[in-house]
Amino acid sequence: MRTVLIPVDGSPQSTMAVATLLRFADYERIGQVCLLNVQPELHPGYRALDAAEIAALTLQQGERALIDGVRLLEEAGIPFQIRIETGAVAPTIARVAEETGAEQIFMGSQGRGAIAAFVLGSVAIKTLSLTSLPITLVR
Amino acid sequence: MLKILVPVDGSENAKRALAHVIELTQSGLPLQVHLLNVQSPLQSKISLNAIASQATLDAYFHELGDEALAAGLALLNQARVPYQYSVEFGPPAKTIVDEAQKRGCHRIVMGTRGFGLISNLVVGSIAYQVVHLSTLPVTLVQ
Repeated sequence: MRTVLIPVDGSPQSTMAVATLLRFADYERIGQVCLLNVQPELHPGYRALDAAEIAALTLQQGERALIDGVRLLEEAGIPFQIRIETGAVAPTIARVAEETGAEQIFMGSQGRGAIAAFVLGSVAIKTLSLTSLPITLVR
Repeated sequence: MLKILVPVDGSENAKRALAHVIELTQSGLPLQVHLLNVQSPLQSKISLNAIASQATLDAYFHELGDEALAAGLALLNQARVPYQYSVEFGPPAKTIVDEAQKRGCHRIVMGTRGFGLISNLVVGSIAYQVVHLSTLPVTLVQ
């Protein structure tokens, strides 16, 4: 089954990445999409939250980031799975790509990062360095 | 009909990008490739004009362009993918993006880097600039 990984952060650009894949879906012969959101790893003590509260917060923010992409995929009737992971963004994208056996990655050329002013987001560049998969960058 | 611009320079990386596009034809859906090679002799021409005529130089750079396209054209012929091709002159990234627009392409598929001098960069300067300049989706094949 041909899997396409789409890391999203809830930004309009990452939603565009989903929309773009859907435009080309018939050509790409997609088996399924893995929609991934990577949240920063928070530790107990962050804003005086305990471990359970941190897990709930991570999940909530992850779902918020995924929702627009989920809606598009549901409308299109493309099979998909969602993943909310914590850790450094690019290495996590590369790891999930491997775990899901993804054949390619679609992503926004820049996301919500602090240095979104960069032409090609640092996440996109780092991801390219950590995987040998083709990456389609969408603006 | 999906139109895809594939800029090539004859490098292995460019061939892999084209192979990625040819794979899309397995969907059985109509697709057309525009194979492009960009020659950027502008700077060198100034000095070269002293020793060679403009016509000689144009012929020379067209020849270089044809050489860069040859491997890609062979792949497309073999896979029976309909295509057009051209050699254009200008700054590489801008020319790639302009041609994609002009020819009504829906996306660009290219190698992360070609015959660049600095091969330790993850993304070559041309691919980087194309992503920057293009409003079309750009697929980078490594």
